[in-house]
Amino acid sequence: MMNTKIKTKFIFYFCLIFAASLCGDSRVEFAKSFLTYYELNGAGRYAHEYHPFLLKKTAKSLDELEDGLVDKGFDVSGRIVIAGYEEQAVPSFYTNIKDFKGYKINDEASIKNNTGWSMRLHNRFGLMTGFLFRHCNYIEDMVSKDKEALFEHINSRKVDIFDDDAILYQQHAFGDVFTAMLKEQEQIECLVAKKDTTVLFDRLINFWKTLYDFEVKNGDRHVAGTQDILFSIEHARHVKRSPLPLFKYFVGPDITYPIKISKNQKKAATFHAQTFTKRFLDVCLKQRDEKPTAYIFNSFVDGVGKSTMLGNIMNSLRSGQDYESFKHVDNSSSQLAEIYDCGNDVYIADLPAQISHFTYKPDGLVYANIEWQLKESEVGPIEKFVIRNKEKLCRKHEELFESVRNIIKRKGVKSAELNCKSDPEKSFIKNLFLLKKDKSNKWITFKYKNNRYIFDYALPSNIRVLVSLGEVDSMGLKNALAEQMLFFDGIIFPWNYDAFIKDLVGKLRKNGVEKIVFVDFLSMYPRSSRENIRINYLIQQQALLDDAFDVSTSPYAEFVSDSHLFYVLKNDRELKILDALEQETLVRLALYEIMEQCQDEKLTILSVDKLTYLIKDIMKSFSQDLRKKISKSALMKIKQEHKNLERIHGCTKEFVNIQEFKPQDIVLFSAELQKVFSEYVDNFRMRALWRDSGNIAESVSGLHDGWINKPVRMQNGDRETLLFIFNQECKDEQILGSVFRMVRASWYASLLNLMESERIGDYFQNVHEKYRVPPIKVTVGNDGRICVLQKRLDPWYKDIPRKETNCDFFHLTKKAAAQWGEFAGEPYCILFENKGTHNGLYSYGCDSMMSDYSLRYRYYNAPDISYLLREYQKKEDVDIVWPTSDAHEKWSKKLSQWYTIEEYSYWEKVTERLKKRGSLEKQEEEKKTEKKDSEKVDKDEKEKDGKEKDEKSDEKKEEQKKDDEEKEIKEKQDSADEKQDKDQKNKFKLCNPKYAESMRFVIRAIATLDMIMKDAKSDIVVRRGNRADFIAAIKLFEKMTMPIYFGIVMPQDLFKDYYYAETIIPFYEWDRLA
Amino acid sequence: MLSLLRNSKIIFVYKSVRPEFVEGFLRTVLFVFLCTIPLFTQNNLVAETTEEFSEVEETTEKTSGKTPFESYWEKYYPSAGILCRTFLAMSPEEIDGAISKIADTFSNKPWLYFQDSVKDFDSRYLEGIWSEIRTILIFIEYSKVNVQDNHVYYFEYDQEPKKDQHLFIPLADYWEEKGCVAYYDLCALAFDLIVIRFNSIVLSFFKDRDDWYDAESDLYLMEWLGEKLAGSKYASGYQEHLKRFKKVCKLLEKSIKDKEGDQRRDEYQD
Repeated sequence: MMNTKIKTKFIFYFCLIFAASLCGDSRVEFAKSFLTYYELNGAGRYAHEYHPFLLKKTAKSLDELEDGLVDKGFDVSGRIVIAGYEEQAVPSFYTNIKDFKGYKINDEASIKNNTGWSMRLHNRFGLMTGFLFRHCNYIEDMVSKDKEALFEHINSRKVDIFDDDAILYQQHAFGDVFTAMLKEQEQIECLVAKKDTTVLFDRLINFWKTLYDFEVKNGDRHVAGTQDILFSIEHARHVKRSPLPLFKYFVGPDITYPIKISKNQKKAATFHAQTFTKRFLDVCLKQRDEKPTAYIFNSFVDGVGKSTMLGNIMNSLRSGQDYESFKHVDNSSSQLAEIYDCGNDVYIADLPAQISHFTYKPDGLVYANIEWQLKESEVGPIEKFVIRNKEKLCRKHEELFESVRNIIKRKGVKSAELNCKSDPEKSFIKNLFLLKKDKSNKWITFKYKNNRYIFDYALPSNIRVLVSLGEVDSMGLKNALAEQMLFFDGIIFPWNYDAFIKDLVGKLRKNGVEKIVFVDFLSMYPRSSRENIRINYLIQQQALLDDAFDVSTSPYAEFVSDSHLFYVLKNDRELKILDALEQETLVRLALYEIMEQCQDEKLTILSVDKLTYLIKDIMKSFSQDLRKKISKSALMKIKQEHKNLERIHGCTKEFVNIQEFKPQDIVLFSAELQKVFSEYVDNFRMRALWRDSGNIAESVSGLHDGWINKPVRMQNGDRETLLFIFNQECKDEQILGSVFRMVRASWYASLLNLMESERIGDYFQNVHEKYRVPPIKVTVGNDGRICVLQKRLDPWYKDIPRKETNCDFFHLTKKAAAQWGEFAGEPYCILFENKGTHNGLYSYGCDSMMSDYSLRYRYYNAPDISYLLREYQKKEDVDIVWPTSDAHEKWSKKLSQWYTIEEYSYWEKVTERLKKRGSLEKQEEEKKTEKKDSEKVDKDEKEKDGKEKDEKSDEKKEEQKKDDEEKEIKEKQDSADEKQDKDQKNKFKLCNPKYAESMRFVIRAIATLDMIMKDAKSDIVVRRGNRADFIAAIKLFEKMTMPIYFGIVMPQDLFKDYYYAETIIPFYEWDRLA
Repeated sequence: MLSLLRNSKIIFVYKSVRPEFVEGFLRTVLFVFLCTIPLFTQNNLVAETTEEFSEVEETTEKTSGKTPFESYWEKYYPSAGILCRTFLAMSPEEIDGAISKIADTFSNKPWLYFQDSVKDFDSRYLEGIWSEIRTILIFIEYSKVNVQDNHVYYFEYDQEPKKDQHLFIPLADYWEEKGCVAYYDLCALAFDLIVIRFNSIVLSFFKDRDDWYDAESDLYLMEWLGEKLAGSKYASGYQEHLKRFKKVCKLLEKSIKDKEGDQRRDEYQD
């Protein structure tokens, strides 16, 4: 018996492989179609299945369905079109705190990983199509009068972006295509008035084709017409071809969204779906000509809200508008048609998405968020249980984790023990190993009252429950963590299409249906629900087939943004993404062939294990020629995407300021600063402050990424403050933005202290500590993350003299101005929290925020770089950076226009002009006794401290008196200083030649810093590795920042040949970008 | 004049009396006016007392277990100025609870802050709400907690504690450390109100507005509030909105300049 079974299986597989090897041409056609239409960007992630090769087949089958039912003698009387769209594709321009409490649909998945939060996907072209119909209700009111309107836009007035007055928001949202959309809207409105549906569908198809073919971008640089627009086009073509009359065309925002009330989704969130369901029941769901009527719910693809709409209708028929008692809507998109009796001889035939007859469907379990899946009353006890038993549950999970590790070592990932439905925890942990997430995973498995859960170790209230894909909520379907989907129920392959129609006809006949109305779901939502399941399966499948497969270097990595994708592509020297794309093409091709071969009179369900074996065999049968063709097409695709992304994102702030940042650079830079300040500077305080204290001696692995501000013990026993910690791969602007601001400002201040010192060899002499800031160091922590550390100082108990603050100069916040520490008797600003390091001092005097401290600008009389930046941004965009090379060129041009001078004679002219005005002085040498003084002060302080310990409490009062007196004296001094400062603001100093060498070092250091770490908002930038930008930055700093902010003018150019100016850290990636 | 205004019964209407529309409008104007008056002097003391607040204090003494805030909140249409006074007698945690109540009322039943029912509630009141919230936010910005006695002290702009500066932590920082989040709700609510005002300028631009200065000043306020929201659950969402508002403001500026250019061209041609 057993033998016969094995034989049958063997013959089945053999036939499959043999048949597969015959169809060479279709293989090439499939691969070509798949790769040509492949989109690497975030929006394309879920649309890869919809390439023309499958679309044509699907479209043809829709025609066959309609013809088949007519042939079988049914009276097919007409059709209803439901074209929903995603309202939040362009969020409302009103903010509302209630949106954060479940009053709006917010179910698009976003994953937090080492890089940051992955992109939330939206469907823009759906909303853009809805925009074309925004006035259709008014037109219908005028044209149809008392008759039932043909076109109806549900709650169009509730969509903020459709507001007639919101022109500026519309311009911003729809970008360059906005004007064309207004014209298109006019045309559509004419056709609505004429009720000319054929031409209307023609126009819609043309509109979508234009969006797709011309890769139209919205205001935020996202592609509007993603690959999934292709099936809207094909479905519309089918409707246009059909001779059936159109009864009704519904359009509206999220009108088929499942009505459900949960902790995270209040009643108000599904208002549009509630309105539409009621309207559909009132207007459409009726018996036609008093004959038993079936409404056939069909769609081109999954995820258009077909099953959820059906659920809403059935719930409404059962419970009316008592939404609280609505039951869960089944998501299990079946491969068979199902008939629902709505009473009064009205039926709904729910058909599987048409494309599912030509593709596979994975089935199994998924971990879904309990706040969406369960009722509020059920959530509380589970949360309490987890919080109380967190450590215990973690220990149990660890044990299980180790046992799975051992099983994998012994038997491999395909071991039956690890793929058993009764033990899903093991399967989940196996997936972690399979997808190389065993180290980064933070989800802990546990059981509670017969259910299986996981919780986030870092945030224990974040709990997920294991449910079947059929029962899961829409948010659960969108779970993009592939390891959390367990495909125990195998992969279902469709049956023969004729058999499907036969089954449908049988079911309709059984219920006595005579009349048929097609309900076409042409909705345009993000493709992240059903398609997400396929992608998660495919990721697991690729990992099973190839041990080297890594999701993080595949097109399915969790990209933070399209800029991030561009960064990954640009730096993918080993062409890992290309390999992954080739592999994906081969797997999809093999799956397609299996599907073609097993189309039978019944469904074929294959377990993941068997399928892996089968795919491997089919892939072996692929010829070298085919593989070569696939490689070539894949390479072309990657090149093309690279080019497109560079065009769109190559100069955006997000790419240049965030994505291009490499933490290793600042670790090197920090080490260099430490070396300089602790070894080569003759200032006692600085040397002591910058003394090397080794690495962090305690574990930091339990800390979350971001702002920490906690003391840590260092290897030499010192205690330092850990300000920030973040992952090396982090590309999250929220985290990096604040790190950059603080570190940049602090290092600027430290470096500027060296400006007026003498440099002999490597040594800096007579260094005066003008800006008192405790050193910030950047190191790699013991868990591999980047740690930003600051020397820990004692609190400062006295008042801060005003002249010490320099808060305005460095753009520090009020909070920073209030936090001071003490080192060797002097106050130091311990929190260098900054309003922004993209302006003023940090940006060559470009003060676009008009918030600058500098007042010397008007006495200096050089072209205003802020004005030039505004001109540049008018031409480009505010999101686009301005490279220093271009900025310097434009500035020099302007300069020669103003004064008819060339750049080489710049300092000559400047000094002449300033001398004439009498505002140029010679720079005095700093007091050489500074060092001795500071040492003396320190000794005195120490002596004082010793004495203080011996004194009694009565003497403190006297000290207070003394303090008060000191304060008064200081205040007087401050006001005198302020007066002097004001007088100095129109004065300039001719740079003392003794300082030239240290000036050179400081400027080079700052230009290096600007190249390796920019403010997230920086407009004028030194692009990483661009020598021309680096040189221009040096020139701009010398010619703008130095005179304006420090009043220092040079007798001549600082560098003989700027081209040979080098960074202060070794840099090996010059001119890769140039 | 000031004392007259302060003692005016209009701003402390007893809840049983339904205020007339004109009265409500006057109250709004008065709130805006009052917000510009410094309520506190140096050394953490209230500058002037009001009859109403004395009444509250007396009632509080009689009703045991209730803070002046609770007594006042139960009895009167609240005024931010007076509320801030009551805060000085509360611990930072109690103030957090009070802020939570205020934010809840403003977001769910804004009319209750001014009148007995939702009837006749006018959008103009929103301006009043904003100025009330602003008063509270300014109070929070300048208040500090003495970590030793756990009391809240108010310091005028540019003033610092005269001694033991190191013992004082800004109130907002104290809440951040303790995980109190009501302050964020209030900031987000204030942001929402400014957005409504900003949008009224943007949406009416093509009808009757020809300047963007008001929109720009609202943008600065949003930035101010956005900074306060850093680290809260609202941060990323509101920052995204802020980015968009900035871009729209640029478009507004550009459209106005184009409009001016057209006008000048027309004048020239005439």
